[in-house]
Amino acid sequence: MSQNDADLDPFGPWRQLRDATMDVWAKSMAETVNTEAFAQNMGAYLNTYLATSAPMQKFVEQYMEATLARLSMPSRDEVIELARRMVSVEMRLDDIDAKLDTLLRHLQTQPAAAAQHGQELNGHLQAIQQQLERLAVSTAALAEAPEGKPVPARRGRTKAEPEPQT
Amino acid sequence: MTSPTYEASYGDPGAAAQKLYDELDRIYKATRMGADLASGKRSAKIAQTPKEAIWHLNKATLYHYFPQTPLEKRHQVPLLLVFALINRPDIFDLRPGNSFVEFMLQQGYEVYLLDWGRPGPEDSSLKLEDYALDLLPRAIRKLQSHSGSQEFTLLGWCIGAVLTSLYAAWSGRDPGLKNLLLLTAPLDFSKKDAGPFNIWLDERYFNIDALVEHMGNVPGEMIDWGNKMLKPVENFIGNYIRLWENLDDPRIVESWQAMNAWVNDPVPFAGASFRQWVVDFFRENKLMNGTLTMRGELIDLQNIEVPLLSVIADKDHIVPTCQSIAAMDRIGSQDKTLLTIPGGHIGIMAGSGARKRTWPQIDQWLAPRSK
Repeated sequence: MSQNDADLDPFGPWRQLRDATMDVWAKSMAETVNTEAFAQNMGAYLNTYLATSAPMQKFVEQYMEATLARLSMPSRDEVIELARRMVSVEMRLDDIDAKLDTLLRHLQTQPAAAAQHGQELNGHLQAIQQQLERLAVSTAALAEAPEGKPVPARRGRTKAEPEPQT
Repeated sequence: MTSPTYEASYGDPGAAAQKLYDELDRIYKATRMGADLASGKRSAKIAQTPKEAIWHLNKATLYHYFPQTPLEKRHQVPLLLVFALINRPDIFDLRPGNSFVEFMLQQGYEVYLLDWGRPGPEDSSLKLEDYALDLLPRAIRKLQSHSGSQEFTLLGWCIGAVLTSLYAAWSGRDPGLKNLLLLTAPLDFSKKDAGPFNIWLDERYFNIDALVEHMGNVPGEMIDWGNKMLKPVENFIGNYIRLWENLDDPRIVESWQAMNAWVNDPVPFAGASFRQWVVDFFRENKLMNGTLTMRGELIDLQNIEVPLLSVIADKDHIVPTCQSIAAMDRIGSQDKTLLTIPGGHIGIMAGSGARKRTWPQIDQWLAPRSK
């Protein structure tokens, strides 16, 4: 866009003026709200609001409570208390849910643990079987030995024999 | 010296007439669009990414977003998003095409979102530790059970970043917490001249006890008003001028509407939490001073040892950068990164440039740490 085109924008000057004004205004307001005086005024306004509305609110609350009691209906405080109890029940349910999750996890990991136990048991059984086989061999040797000739006693295990798994 | 010609001084009268016509046409279209907006014919739909609620407790809900990538391309560590207590978490998923949730799903993350909900009168006694040390761990347990992964990444934004920091510091060496991402985290309040909130909430002017006693929960509108008063001209006037200027562009109008829908849906601040926020954080800066105790335990940022990414906005007027930067030294992690993004408090994550600037950098940091 040439300078001439910009000059010919019928709403251009208005926009420029608006933007310039807004910038100045924005800066000035940002500085104003960042002062002790503004904070003091805002605090005073809030205090006045609380001081004037609190008695009115208390009056309305008392009136409503009495009215609701006459109508055999629960008051606001009673409903709030009920809601708190429900939240408490929800918390307990969530605790139970957490425990169920833990139990389920354990159950899911159980087959793996059982398989491991099975392998260990298998090892024990094999060791026992080898011992029995050796015993059978020794017994057979004893039976076949000529009468009066002693069978050499075995002292310790040979290298080839595996360590019994206990 | 020769005098300038008519055309040189005033341009072509035909072009000027055309410009005037274009401008009037624009005003006509803008007025029609404005009327449609005012009559409610056009409304913005936000938080559209498909999700399922997998857990509820009191007002809190844990959402799981449906994955958008095949299983083999997904990161192993799920991501849990935690927003502040004072606005809806929909800002994480503003609108299709401009949604952080959608982006992260496309990058292969399993995304979960913790929505704190809107506290009712029965929740006025909820304290920050109820959120950070009770509701959050319970939601995490559900996430772990649902995702099948014990490890997870926590991402907190604004007060959500404070809550996730409290959790991370409290849980200490929790083997499940793999990474911590903090977006514009207000952790350090030692600089008393950092923004108007410090003056407004000063005990000389602001009677927090009277307010909480009278109101129970602090109304969302009051919090929203306070946030807008930080930049009153921009928020109360400039915002609408921007809309007026762009009313003839449906794309910008849609974007404005989505943001406006989110901004104008404030959430009350549970009274006890707000009191704690003002007294323990703004006034006494207990977390940074190392004097913050919750549930009888000292909350020490040194206990955070997981990889940490802290993202700050250089033009943040709600959480000035100094409130996040100083905390970096106090956090115990060895692997910690401070990322400064040009933009404002919300703009860095939900503005038009977020998809190009912020989100890819978050993904770049997180992807190698999500294996």
